[in-house]
Amino acid sequence: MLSSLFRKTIWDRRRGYVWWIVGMVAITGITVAFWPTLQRDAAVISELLENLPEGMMSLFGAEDAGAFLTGPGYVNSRVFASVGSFIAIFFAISMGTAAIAGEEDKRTMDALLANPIPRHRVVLESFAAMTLLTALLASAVWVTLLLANPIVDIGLSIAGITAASIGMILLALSFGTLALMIGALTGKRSLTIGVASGTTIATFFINGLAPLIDSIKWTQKLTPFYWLLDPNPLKNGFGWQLLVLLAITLVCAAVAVWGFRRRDVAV
Amino acid sequence: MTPAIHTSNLTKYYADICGVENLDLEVEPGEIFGFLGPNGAGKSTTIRLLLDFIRPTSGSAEVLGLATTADSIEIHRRVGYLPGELALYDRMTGDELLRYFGALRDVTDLSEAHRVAEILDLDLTRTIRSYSSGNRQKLGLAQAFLHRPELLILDEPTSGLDPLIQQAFYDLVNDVRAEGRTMFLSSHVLPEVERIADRVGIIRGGNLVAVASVAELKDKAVHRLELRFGEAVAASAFESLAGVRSVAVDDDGYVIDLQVEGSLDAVIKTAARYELINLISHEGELEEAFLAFYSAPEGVPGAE
Repeated sequence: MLSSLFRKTIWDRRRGYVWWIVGMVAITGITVAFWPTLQRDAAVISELLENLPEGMMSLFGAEDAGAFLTGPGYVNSRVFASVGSFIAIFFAISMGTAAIAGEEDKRTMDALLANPIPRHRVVLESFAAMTLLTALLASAVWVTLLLANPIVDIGLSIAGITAASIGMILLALSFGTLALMIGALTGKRSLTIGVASGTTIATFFINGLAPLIDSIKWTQKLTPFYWLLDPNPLKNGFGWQLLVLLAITLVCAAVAVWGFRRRDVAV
Repeated sequence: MTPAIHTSNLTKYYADICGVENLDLEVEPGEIFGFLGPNGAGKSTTIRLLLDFIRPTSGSAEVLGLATTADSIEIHRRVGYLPGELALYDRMTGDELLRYFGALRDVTDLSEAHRVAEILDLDLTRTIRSYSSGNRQKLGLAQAFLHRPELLILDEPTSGLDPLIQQAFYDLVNDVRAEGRTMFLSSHVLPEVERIADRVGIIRGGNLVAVASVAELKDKAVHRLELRFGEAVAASAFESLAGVRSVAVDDDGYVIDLQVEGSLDAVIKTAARYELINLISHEGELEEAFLAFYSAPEGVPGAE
């Protein structure tokens, strides 16, 4: 397992990773398991939801109570527009941070770079490892939903599950490569975690709340969340909007390579 | 012959703090070069410039004839490096680290690294987290030797090693010399460098103040002697001797402190005429080595 930086980066995760998977499966499974109950009490819940302030509903990732009480609307709200995506995002951020800022923070970068490995490969192999493990983490959602869908009859389509899961990977990678980029540019671990997590939380709220105020509604288009959630891939399948997330990821990765190649490495 | 290391006007500023300034240094292939200076003098800065971890503000450097900024990967392939601020992956065992770094170098034969670990008495089966700082240093040395590099750049190699292990390290240095390989090592301990190096460069406040062979350094070195006599001895007995720089009398003439430059011959012969109870030779201080070469004002700013 220690035959390349890519493999070593995966090896580093061997202990904690299984718990990320367990968490992801649990969140998805519990969500789906509650669907029959939710449907049985639909009238009560519908009334409850309609009395919620508009902003709350929007933050739940559903346009209205009616949408929330459809299978795709409910799973989208509980998994893709909230906890599930957050798990994937924070996992990706932790890997993006560890890649360069973490290595410098632990002072191991000198010893690593003394090997004949170019700096761009340090960035790209870390990126590849982050992509693989983030994709597998999101696949836990994919597999859980595919298996649960016929059991609880929640009305999801395979195309929808697949598109939304890919969307979750790309959303998480957008923030993970943001962390990778900040680490590559600065080498500062706390700064990297702070900015990447802060951006996640801030853009989540902007995407949820901006639509309530017409004059700033456009700002939600600046958030990665918008490009996953607005086209609602769970319901509608794959849309071009997911490519925006891919573009964000690739741009951040490119800047990371550029930034790390040009600067002094901290002792 | 291409020098192993060559720098010209190498300068590094951090913001406006001077790391090194106008460094002109040449290390010949096959020599053991000691890079001597107090902490913060610019030793690590110079070394990290050579490995392209940091980039010069001005000037340039070549290692094995390759430009540090353009050919760093080829340099890394051919150089073994021990970081000064050594940290290695806590969760790996020593053996796992060697396998990992071996893989990054396309080296599968780890016998050289294992040989060094054995000479230094290091248990490779334990995790790095459980290592003492001395054991980490040993592992750092083992990975630097791993690919039998033609040039070893070692930043403070003996720091944290106990005296017995230091001796084992000196044996390794002698192997390197015997094999015609080159070593560039930094230190802030004069006797150590005198003992293992062929030539010495002295750096202070980011400036290279002297380069000399160890023989020259020893000639000019100032020894501090403390002589304890069984009788009172007058300072005048030593004042006029060759090489004596200063004489201080303590304890009513029973103890005499001397600073002597170069050979101790005249002093010892004179002391032998009296009833000599004890003789303590203080190890040469780095500051005194500087003084021998160069009378710099105190408080030269330094940064690293």
